[in-house]
Amino acid sequence: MRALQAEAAEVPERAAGRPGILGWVPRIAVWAVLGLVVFGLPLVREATDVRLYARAAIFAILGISTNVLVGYVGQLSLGHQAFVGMGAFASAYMVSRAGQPLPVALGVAMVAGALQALVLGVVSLRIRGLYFALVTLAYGLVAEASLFQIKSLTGGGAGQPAPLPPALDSPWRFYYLCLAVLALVLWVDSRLLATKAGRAFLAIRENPFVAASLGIDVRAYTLLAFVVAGAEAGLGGGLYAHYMGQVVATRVFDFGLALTLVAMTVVGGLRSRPGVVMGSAFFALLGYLVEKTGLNRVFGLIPFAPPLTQEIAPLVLGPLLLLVTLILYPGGIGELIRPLISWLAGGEVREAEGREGSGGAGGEGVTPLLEVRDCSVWFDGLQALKGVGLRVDEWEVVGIIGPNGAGKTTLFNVITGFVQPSEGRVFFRGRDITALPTHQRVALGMGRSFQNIGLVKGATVLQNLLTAQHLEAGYSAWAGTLGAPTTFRREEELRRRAEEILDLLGLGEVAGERVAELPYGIQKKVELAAVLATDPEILLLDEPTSGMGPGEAADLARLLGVLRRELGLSILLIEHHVPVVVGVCDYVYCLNFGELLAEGTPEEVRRHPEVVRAYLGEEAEVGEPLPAGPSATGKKGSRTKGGRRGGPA
Amino acid sequence: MALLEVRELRAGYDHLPVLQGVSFTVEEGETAVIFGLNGAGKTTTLLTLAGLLRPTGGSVRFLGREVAGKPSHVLAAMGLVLVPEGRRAFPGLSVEQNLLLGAWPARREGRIRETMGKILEYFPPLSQRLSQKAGTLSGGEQQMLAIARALMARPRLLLVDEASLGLSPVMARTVFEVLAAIKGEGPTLLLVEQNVGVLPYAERVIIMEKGVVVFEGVGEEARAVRLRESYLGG
Amino acid sequence: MAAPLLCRTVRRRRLSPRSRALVGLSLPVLLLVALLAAGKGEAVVFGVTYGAAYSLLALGIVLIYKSSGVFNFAQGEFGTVAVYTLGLLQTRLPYGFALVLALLAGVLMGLATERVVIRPLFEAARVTLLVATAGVALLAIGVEVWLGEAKLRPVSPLLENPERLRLLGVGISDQQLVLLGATVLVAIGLAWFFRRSALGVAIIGASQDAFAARVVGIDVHRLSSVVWGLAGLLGALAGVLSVPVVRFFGPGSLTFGSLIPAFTAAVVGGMTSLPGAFVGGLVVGAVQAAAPTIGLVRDIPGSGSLAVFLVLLAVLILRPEGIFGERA
Repeated sequence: MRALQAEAAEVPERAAGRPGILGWVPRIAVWAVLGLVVFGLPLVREATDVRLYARAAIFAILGISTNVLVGYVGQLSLGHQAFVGMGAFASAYMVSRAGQPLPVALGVAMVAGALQALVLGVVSLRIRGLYFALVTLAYGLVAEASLFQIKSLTGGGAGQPAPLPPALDSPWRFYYLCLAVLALVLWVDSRLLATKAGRAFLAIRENPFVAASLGIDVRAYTLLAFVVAGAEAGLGGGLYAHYMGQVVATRVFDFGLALTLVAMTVVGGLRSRPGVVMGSAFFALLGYLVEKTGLNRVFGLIPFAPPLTQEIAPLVLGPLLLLVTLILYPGGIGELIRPLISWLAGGEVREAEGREGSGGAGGEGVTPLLEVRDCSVWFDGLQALKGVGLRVDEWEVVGIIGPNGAGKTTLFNVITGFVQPSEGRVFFRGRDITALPTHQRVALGMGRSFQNIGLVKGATVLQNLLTAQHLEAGYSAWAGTLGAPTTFRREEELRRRAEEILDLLGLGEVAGERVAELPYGIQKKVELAAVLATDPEILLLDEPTSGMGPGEAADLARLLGVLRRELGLSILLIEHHVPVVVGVCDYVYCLNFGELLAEGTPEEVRRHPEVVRAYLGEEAEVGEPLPAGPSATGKKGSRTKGGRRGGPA
Repeated sequence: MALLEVRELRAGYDHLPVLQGVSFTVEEGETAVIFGLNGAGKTTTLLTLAGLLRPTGGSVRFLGREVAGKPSHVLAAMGLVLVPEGRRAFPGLSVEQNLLLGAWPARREGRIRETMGKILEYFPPLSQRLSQKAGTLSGGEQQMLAIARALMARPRLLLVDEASLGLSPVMARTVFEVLAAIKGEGPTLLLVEQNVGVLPYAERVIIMEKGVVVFEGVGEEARAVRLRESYLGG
Repeated sequence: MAAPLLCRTVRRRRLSPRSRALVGLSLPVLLLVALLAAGKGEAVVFGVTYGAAYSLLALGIVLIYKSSGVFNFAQGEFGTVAVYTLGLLQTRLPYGFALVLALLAGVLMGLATERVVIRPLFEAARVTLLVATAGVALLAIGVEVWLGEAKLRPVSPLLENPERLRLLGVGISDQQLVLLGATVLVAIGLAWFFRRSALGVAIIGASQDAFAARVVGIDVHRLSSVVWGLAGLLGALAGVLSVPVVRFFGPGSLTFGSLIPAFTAAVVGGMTSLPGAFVGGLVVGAVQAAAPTIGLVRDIPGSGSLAVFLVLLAVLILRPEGIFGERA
């Protein structure tokens, strides 16, 4: 996985408590030094140096923008320079041609960048991953060759002048302007990540299927990310135009810049805000630093090599740094400075916990809660399901059993909407939901837990539960990103509810742990908690005891009983483990080779001769029931025919 | 001298130790079976023996040579070949190409076609599907292909991981019968199984629990007793 | 990938591989015929001869993708480095000797890339490897700028005859014929290699399941070295044969000029089809050369690269498996 999929950086460090007053003294001292360097140092440097510092601040803005796409959404964009260039030309044009004031020009730059990014965002819905990177790269080249050659916009070969208003026309003032804009961008970025949009991004990046099953509209959030990134890139580009004073199309907004943007984000450490800022500033100042530190003289010792000038140094050292980071320090600068950052923040204190029972789902009526009628599914000419039907009533716990490859997971995918049945219908509360996409089914009250743990593994337990409550957040992603006051209160409520669920399942102690680091059995429970957080009326569980020992499985069975009693849930579970089914289910269906083999009470099904034969083979004596103890049949993973996973095709 | 001698073998994944000192021997010409529940360390044992997982300690002597830690291509060339769990045929290659790749360790010895002809006699369904892509075979056929592919290397010791997994009982029995038939021809067999259907074919039984061998023997009675304990008592 | 996109159980009608290949082949041919009929013969001939360079580069890209699933953004630089070697040595050594050393330079760069960058990232996400190979390309360009200055340098072709034959009013040089011939030979050779040779089959097998390859006793690391060395050779060949056609080179010559068209060519072949990449390169060359001569788009600056971009986008959206659709 390495750098591009490294862990989320925003893991709250759970300290025992806030440091005392004495503990804060060294922290404040370090903060003061940092502040002095950023705000004070430029005052004593020369104009040429301060100009470079302004450039560093602009690069930091661009880095944060790149990080939204590459880091948060996980889409590698090699055409980011086009957004930057668009912003630069738009702002220059507004100031020098349209005679607009700087704030208006920068606003237009943002819009121009955002619109352009939106176009690529739409493309990214169809073309993903490596191919998307390729498309963005080609797009960037086209922008350079076509868009930036439009004379009226870019002034042709001579370039477009981008003067600064007299009030800002000093390197120092411009530097502080850039700092202010950077601060604004950082604030938006922090709100973006701290609210539901950030959690949606994390879920989409790790697994769009999980994201959809949590009710996240994958399309909308992908586009949101593109718009935000594009606006920030346009803004940075606008500032960059005025930094240069004259925007020339050639050799500025090219492939080199695109890769520099990616490189500085990766070197900084994807998803680490302080890391990205530092990495970007470092890249902007690379040539300058090489000269100031005398490193160029070291390179001068290489025989026959020409001097490594301030202009050439970044071209050689930048890619080198990128490669070294990818191979040796995939976490980048952000990973290296994380202990320092968390120390500076002084740790976090946990809020007081409340305890209230979650409201159970009521409901009455004769219509079954969930009904599947005559469903058939074909994959590549193979029939995975043959006219299967089942029903789950209110308060009922229903089990589906069957050997590997029986079609259990396919049936499940039909119910959750990951697979469209070739024939047949699915009803929820009497409503035909056969054609509804997964996230809308979740909104109706169907929760799902994945066979392979539908959790965002890089996030903490608590973050996972918050992500799961995506639909209940009740505010728009824009409000969250722009920091509307109600969102802070709402976030608090969501957190409290998540903690209640964790306590109900006895998971309070691990709330701050990252899921990937927890034992498998606990992960399974967290998964259950995440599903409960979606406030389901029916719980759909796919092999909840897989990978558990007999003791853990019995515990889980007991827990399911509690949930049903306490929360009034209906439960449908696929289970390989016959004893669990016997213990908790009211009614059991047995599948084999895609067909319904038997149905009835657990005892009936357990003694059904066909079922016994399907499980134990012909060697088993007919009439002997399946064991109520640990099953002796082979069961490992879900690899079925042809090694195909039971998941969505 | 035993064909394979495993002493205090330790191995695992990242920070999760699985094998806690596994010891057993396999004599030339016999069929040995490792039984155990999920998580007992059976597959890990085979992967380590085949050189696909680096051991963290202990010794493995094969044909009298210390081979612990040797990579799989060296071991395969020595005649120690694995039929992995989940079959792992090359799905996009034809059955014939799969078989030819199986002969990779023996590719300089020649007579590959001849070997293939002989092996295919045991697997009539495969010989009719030589040009078919392996990914389109049924589960049982893929299992046969995996075994046939391993035989192409002309192994001295064949490790087979859960040959019956995911197969219908009939198919599982066919696979066991093929394995029994092959044995007469050459390789010693070390099988890992959860399916008790293999018992009639086993000459040596090794039972693993939680990363160690808790029983090793050839006696009929002891075998039955231990099996019951291991499966039903836990 | 939004949820509704996941619910695709309705499958396209399946054609037999042969009819698919025929359909695949007829589309580019139709395009070429249409361009010829529209009186763009000159552009087509010029484009196709230059497109051979894209084809050759694309074959190297397909080789790497088939064997390891990596988008190799350094493929162009394997060529540029070879051209630098050729350009700098040809004044001091016999041309043939310089040529061999240039090819060797490409092979060495391929091997070094595998050993230093690819192997440590063996388990990494493919996107990470894309960034890494792009980093290799950028590093090579940086070093070229540093050691060779950012200026154009002359390089002479293997055969000097500037006009061997004349086709539809376009003179074709010996060098262009050599390039075209070499590309055809490489395409046929690679196709044979992957279909018939044990090594080629092993490479395909390892790409489908690296674990299974280790199980049958294949040393996958050595295999990886062989593949990257070969890709280095193909890149170098593309460089030393195509760049002398225009007689000048500079930092990143092949990366800036040919990488995107070459990738487009590879995408036309679904990233895995060798004949697809070959035909794709010729078509991309023709489209790129014809675009600036067509009425509507003539006045758009950069219409050539815009046309290539549209081809890329169209193939990816309409037929992501490529026109030749050789999906495993």
